[in-house]
This record gives sequence, C-alpha cells and structure tokens, in this order.
Amino acid sequence: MSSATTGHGVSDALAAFIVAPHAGTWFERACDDACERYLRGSTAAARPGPLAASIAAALASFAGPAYVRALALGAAFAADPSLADGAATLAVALVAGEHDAGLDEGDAIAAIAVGREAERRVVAAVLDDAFARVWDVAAIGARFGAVAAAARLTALDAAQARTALGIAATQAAGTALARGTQAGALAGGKAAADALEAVALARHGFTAPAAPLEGRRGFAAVQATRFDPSAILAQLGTRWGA
Amino acid sequence: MQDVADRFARALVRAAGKPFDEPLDREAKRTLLNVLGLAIGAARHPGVDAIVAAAGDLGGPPLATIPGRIERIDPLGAALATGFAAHVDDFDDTHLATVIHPGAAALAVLVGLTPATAPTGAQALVAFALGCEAQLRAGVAISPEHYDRGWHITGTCGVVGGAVAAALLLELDEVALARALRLATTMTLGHRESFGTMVKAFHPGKAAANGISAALFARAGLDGPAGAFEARGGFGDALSSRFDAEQMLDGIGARWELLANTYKPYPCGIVAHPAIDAALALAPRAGAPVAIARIDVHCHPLVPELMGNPQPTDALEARFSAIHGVAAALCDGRVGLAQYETERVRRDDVRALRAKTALRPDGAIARDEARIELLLADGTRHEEHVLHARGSLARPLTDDELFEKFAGLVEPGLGAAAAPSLAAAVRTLERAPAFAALPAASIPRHAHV
Repeated sequence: MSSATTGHGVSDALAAFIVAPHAGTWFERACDDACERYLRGSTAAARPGPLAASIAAALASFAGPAYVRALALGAAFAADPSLADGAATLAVALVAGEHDAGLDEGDAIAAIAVGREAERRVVAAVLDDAFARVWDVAAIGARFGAVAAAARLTALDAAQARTALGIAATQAAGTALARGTQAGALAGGKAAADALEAVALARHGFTAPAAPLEGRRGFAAVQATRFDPSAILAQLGTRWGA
Repeated sequence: MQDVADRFARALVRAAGKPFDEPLDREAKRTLLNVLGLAIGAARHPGVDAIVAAAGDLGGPPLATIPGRIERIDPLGAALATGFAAHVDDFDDTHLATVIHPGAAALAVLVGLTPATAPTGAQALVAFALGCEAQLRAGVAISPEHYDRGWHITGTCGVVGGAVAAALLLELDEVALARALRLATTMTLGHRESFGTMVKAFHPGKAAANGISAALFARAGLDGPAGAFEARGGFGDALSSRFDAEQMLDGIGARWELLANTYKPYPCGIVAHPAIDAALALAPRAGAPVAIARIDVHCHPLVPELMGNPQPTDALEARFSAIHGVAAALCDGRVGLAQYETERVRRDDVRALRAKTALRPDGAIARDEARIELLLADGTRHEEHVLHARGSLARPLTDDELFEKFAGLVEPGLGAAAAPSLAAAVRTLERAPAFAALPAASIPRHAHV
C-alpha cells in the first residue's frame, strides 16, 4: 500500500503544522475568525455560569487551577450554542492568557486558528454516519483542537507536539448518546483540561506512539470506520478553514 | 425506568455493605499487595518523574503522596502517577478472560482520594475490591470484541471501576453512584497503538483520575445520559459490537470475577508466560547459549500479535517481545526485572539467541500453553511442553511466591524491613483504623539523592 492510503506520516505532518510559523492570506483570514471567537470567549469567560461553577467547586482541591479552569470553561463553552464549535480550543487559549500575563494576544489567536484547523482536518478524515452514530463528534474533535492549541502556546517542538497529540488521541472520548447533555459538555471541558496535562507531560519527556492517528491500533483504526489521510495532509498550512 | 447504571450501582452498593467471605478477602488482598509492590517498585520510572514534573507545572494542591516517592502532588496527579507506576512494568495482575489489569486503577483511586476521604482500612479494602470487580464486569460484557478492535481494555473499563471505587470512598449513595457511572461512560480512554510507549501505563492512571472526577461531578449533582451503557450510541455500542448487560449485572455480590484474577511471575505481557516457563525448564538441559542452533516456540496466535517484536532494543520494547523472554530465560536461567533492563536487553549473548528464535503460532494451542523445540549445534534436540503457565488460573502463584515477588519489588526503594511490615498491614487491612497508614508506610524514609 502507498503512503497515501496507509496515511503514513500523518501524525508527524500534523505535529509539524501545529508548531510551524504560519503566514499568508488564508492564515490571516483564519486568525480574523479566531480573533472574533477570542473576544466573544473572553466576554463569556467573565460569567461562565452555573455548570462551570459546579465543576470548579467539585474539582477545586483535587487538581491545579489551570486544569480546573480549563475544564470549567471548556464545558461552559461546549454547552453554549454560540461557542460550542471549537469550545475546548478556545478554553485552552483563554486559560493560557489568564495564567500567563505575558502571553501575547496574537499568539493566543494564532493558537486558536491552528487548533481549529487541526480539529477540522482530523474530524474530516474520519467523519461518516457510522462515526457520528456512536461518537460525540464535537467532543472527539475537541481533543485534537485543544491539544494543538496547547502545544503551540507552550512552544513545544514538533517531536513533543506529536507526543502530546498521542496522549490526547488515546483519550478521544464522548459517546453520541451524551451529545448535547451535561456529560457532553463535560467531555468538551475534559478535552481542554487534559490537553494542558498532555502538553506538560510531553514537555517532561513522556513517550507516546509515533502514529497515534494513523497507526494500526491508533485513533482512526480503533474509533472510525474510514480514514482519509488527504483530509489532513492536503494543502496543510497553505489552505485554511475550507 | 431503571437503566443498567442504576441496577449496577444498586447491586454494587449492596455488595459493599456485606462482609467479604474468606476467598474474596484473600484475593482482594493478594491483588492489593501485588499492585502496591509494583507501584513502589516503579516509583522512580522516568514516566513517573514526568508526571510529577507535569503536576508541578500545573500547580495543583500538594495533598497526596505517591507510593515509593517523597513528593506530594495534587490528588488527580497522584492517582495518575500511581496507576502509571503500577502498570508500567507489565508485571501487575491480569484477569485472563478480559485481559484487564484491574488493580492499578483501583489502587490509584485509593491513593488519590485518601487525603480527602480518610477511609478506614475496611472502607479502602471494600472500595478496592468493588473497583476491581466493576472493571471486570464491564469488561466481560463487551469482550472479546472490544479488545480485538484495538482498545486497551484496562483504560476503558478502568474508568468504570475507578468511578465505583471513588464513589464508595466518597460514601455516595446508589443514586449518585449511578450518576458517576453514566458520567464515566463519556471519559473512556485507551488505544492499543500505545503499547511499547509510556501511554500504555498512562491508561490505568488516567482511568483512575477520570473515575475520581466522575464521582466528584456526580456528588455535585451532574449526570450522564440515561441508558449510558446499553442504549444506542452509548458505552457498549461505541466500544464494542457486543454488550451483554446480564453478564455485567448477574450475581453481583454472589459471584466474583475478582476471584479469577492472576499475578504475573514475569514482567512482560502475559501471553508470553507459558513460553518463558518452557524456556526456563529447558535452560539446565540447553547448556551454553552459544551451543544453541535454533529455537522454535509453538504458541497461541496472540503471542506474535501482541508480543511479536523479534529484536527489541530497550527495556520497554523487550516487554513486548516473547522472543526476548525465551532468550533471556535460556541465557540467565531466570526472568525477573533484571532481564528487562535496557543494558541486559542489548547484550550480544541474548541478541544472538533472539536471532535464532522463531514464533510458530498455532490455533490449536491454548492461551496459557506453549511448546518449545530446541536444536543444539551438535544436533541434539530438546522439547518442553507447558500445559498451564505459572501464575495462570490452573497454576496460581502461592502466597509465598507472591510475597517473594513483593519483597523483590519494594526492597530497593524502601529497604528490607519494609516488605514484611507492609505485607502484614495488607493482611490485616480490614482492622486498620486508618487506611492512610499504608500509603504513609510506602514512602521512602530518606530522600534518595
């Protein structure tokens, strides 16, 4: 089989995309969209609502403040129809800003754009009726967007970004039955919080599979019935948000 | 209407309220002793270092200890570290029918929640045993299709059992436990692609952390969808082509899957164990490794599928190489943690012997069976046929063998006196006023510099 059909190198390519410098008209357009989301998210983060408050209270003495905040914000955004698309990616970027006063807003916005692009492409590679029948597509996609944004904001190198991707991929979760419920929102929040953890582990030398997306027992093989590598690889970094 | 989570929760809470009979008490403690030894033995693993460093970055409240280490980190981080350490040497307990390693996630929940819940020894033992049992029952309901599809069942079902152990420690009622179980179905994890990397052992650790989270969210009143396990688009449907609710629910409190738990004599994937038994039996007859011309290992087809690496280059890869286990047995006459150290794996003698070894999968050979044909350079042939591997259900490790294994794991980190006192503490756990004494005794007294 050729690499185009086996998808060999897809995880490497996505990791390289996550950490690469980006420029050009397509990227700028993606950043305009990301900026608009960032501003709406900032407003929403100031009054995240009762679900976020319950989550924050439940976990407060059990995990770090950024982890808890990302979970609460990610869940609140996932439950808000105007922010649900890309909720976890947005939560990661906002929490990074809250916990690092020196974070450049342009970097946060670029991370949202990169996260959304990674999420969109991974979902496009596996989505069909069979996938949507059993999985909460938004919660699963959120894992990839959130970890991409977190890896970029933490300035991981490509190898570390692939490790973080591997840690995130194995946690892709959320059943179709939970879609639109509290549990579905929580799955979005978990995607954001666990992305911060995955990036921290990758930074400190954790090891993960080389092909978490395309491997024989990886994300696509285990959780999907189809896998189209070109949905991830084609014009990656040159064409955005098609 | 009651869904499977409601029925499961009700039966588990009832079972938790009844005294354990002798066989269950014994097996729960054997499982706990074995997995505690593993967590302590692997406490200095680079993956645990990474988890502790990551917890430092994330800045959580440093409330929980980790067996075998001196640091305190946040409770979810401590659960992750403990479950990771317990599983990373591939030396923990195995329930053969499902291939679940239930002890790691169950112990990790105890470690993570001890600071917040301060359980008695009896409460901790009950939470541990039912946390194991719930994993195994969820696993039986979706096996073998679930694992065959590529899921690491220790991760996926670990979340379910982790939620049960956590809910019992938090003293949730059956209604809240049912909520925790429904929430747990949306927090599953575990692709088998991770085998051979640290992510494999991340699975039971994170399963425990997710189980704790599910129970905490349930305590706060959050809930997952009705029919979370059995409905279309739920746990069973997403994770397997089969979900048998009756297998999950039938006879809880009367019939225990935990009684079928087994303990590994060798620190590698269990499917390789009968071949290693055969190689150890052949070692005295085989003589010097250089005199061996060829080794044919007739084995169950899962051996090459799961443990097929013919020429591993480091410690972790060697754990997924049945051929390494056989070659090391013939070189050293024993197979312990030392045979899986990177330096040993790379030495010429064992490398040469691996090159002479071939796996011959045979569908007529059982999972705990193997036959080795050995050809010496002078033409002599030897054969050894193992019908039931050591540590299998038909040939379980004795309490003495288990203690020997435990002592070998904890002595390097805690000193020689620790093993007998920790083993005694596990043996009398139901009488301990505070479970916290056990994790406290699992911390090194002096920092290792």
